[in-house]
Amino acid sequence: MRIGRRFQFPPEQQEQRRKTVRLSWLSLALLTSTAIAVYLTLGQSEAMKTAWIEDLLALVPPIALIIAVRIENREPTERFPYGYFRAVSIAFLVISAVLLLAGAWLLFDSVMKLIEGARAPIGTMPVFGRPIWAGWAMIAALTYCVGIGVLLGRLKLPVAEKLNDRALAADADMNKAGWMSEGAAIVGIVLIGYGRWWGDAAAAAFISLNIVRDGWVNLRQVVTDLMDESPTKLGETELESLPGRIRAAAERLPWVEKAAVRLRESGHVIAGEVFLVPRVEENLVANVEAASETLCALDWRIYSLTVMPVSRLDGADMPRH
Amino acid sequence: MPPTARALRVCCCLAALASCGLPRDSDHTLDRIRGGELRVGVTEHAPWVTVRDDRMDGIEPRLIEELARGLGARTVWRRGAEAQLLEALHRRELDIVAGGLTADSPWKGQVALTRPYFTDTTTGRTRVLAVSPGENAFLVHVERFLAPRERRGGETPDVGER
Repeated sequence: MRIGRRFQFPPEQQEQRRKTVRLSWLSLALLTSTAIAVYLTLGQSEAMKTAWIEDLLALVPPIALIIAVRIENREPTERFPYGYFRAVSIAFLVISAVLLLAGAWLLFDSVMKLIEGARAPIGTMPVFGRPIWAGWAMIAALTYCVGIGVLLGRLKLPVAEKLNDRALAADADMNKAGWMSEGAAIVGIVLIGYGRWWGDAAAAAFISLNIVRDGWVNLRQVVTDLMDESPTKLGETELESLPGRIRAAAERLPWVEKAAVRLRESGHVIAGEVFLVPRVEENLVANVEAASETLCALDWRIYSLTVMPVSRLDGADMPRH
Repeated sequence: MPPTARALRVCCCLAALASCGLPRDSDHTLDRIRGGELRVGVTEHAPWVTVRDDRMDGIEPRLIEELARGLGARTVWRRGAEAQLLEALHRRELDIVAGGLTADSPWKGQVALTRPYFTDTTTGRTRVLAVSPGENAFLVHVERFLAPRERRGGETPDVGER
């Protein structure tokens, strides 16, 4: 037994992690290109401005993921004996707080524009020396963004499911919210084209709501993570059955009379304690070590399982909430 | 035909249909001006706008007269201070304001500034006209009118810079 060992991802998951990094770099490249496309056609449209900021904000999760994958699997040190898995959670706490604030500010901004009755002027843009309505260029840029968003979301979700990676799932979800926002911006520009000036600020308000929602969903997820929540299913709030399965497996051991389990999820991995009431106390040390190995093998995400023999367990079942 | 191809064709047809006569004005400014009157706000600012015996002259009023002729409209001039005129423009009480405005005017959030019709190559300063915001058909019309008349450098007498 060695404490402070490095967590070994199984080969399939290692492959998926490499894929995560590749997808994140791809996201960065493509999202940068969409941000440039939107910036070039920005004009004075509120919806375009909001879509552009959302585009920029969408760059942050891939950056966080690339850094997290590098840091989280560092060997535990004397100073950080539990390893670096929480680094991902801290990164996401910051990101989601920023999303929430930026979204709230943009929402306020666009609602104020709507109340003031601010009318967005969209004039012409020279294309091959001919002045065309800049709205067409905006719509073209936004259509490109929608295509990229759909593509990235589709590439990321299967990987996130295989890795049970909430961060990547949240990132994919943000891509989806992003392309829906860009669709809303297209509607806003078309409405301006038809002389409906409120379409611009209304589309911007819709996009800001999307950003607020992104921030809120991520914040809730990361706060539960930092609160040592028991493992939950990907993208859901329902608890996983893993603690129950570990407990059942422990109680099936011939020398165990009763068992209690508590688990917590740190980023990609799971750690926790198993308390056992032994039926026989012979060979206890060897039995405990063997039990730890057997129980760890139940799920690849288990990083450390402390097995502790106790003389009795009172009230092993905790209240549901 | 696969569904994506069909969706694409439908989208193209819709886009083609939709693109007729876009953008439109929020307040039908261009339709109103055609054959009607063009309400112009002017601030004296030589050489862009000069006033001699109550007659408007200078580079910008000459451009606006030509614009009005093209639209079959007669011009109604209103003189005033820049801030006063631009506020009236924001409220859509005027259609266009001339006063040697530059593209970096602090008013650019309140009114619609056109693309520059003149760029000073030594200072990099660009001269624009201002139209009421949200009247995008009119804005596009004015910019299309200005595009072939755009000048650069010292072709224009550079005097009277305030």
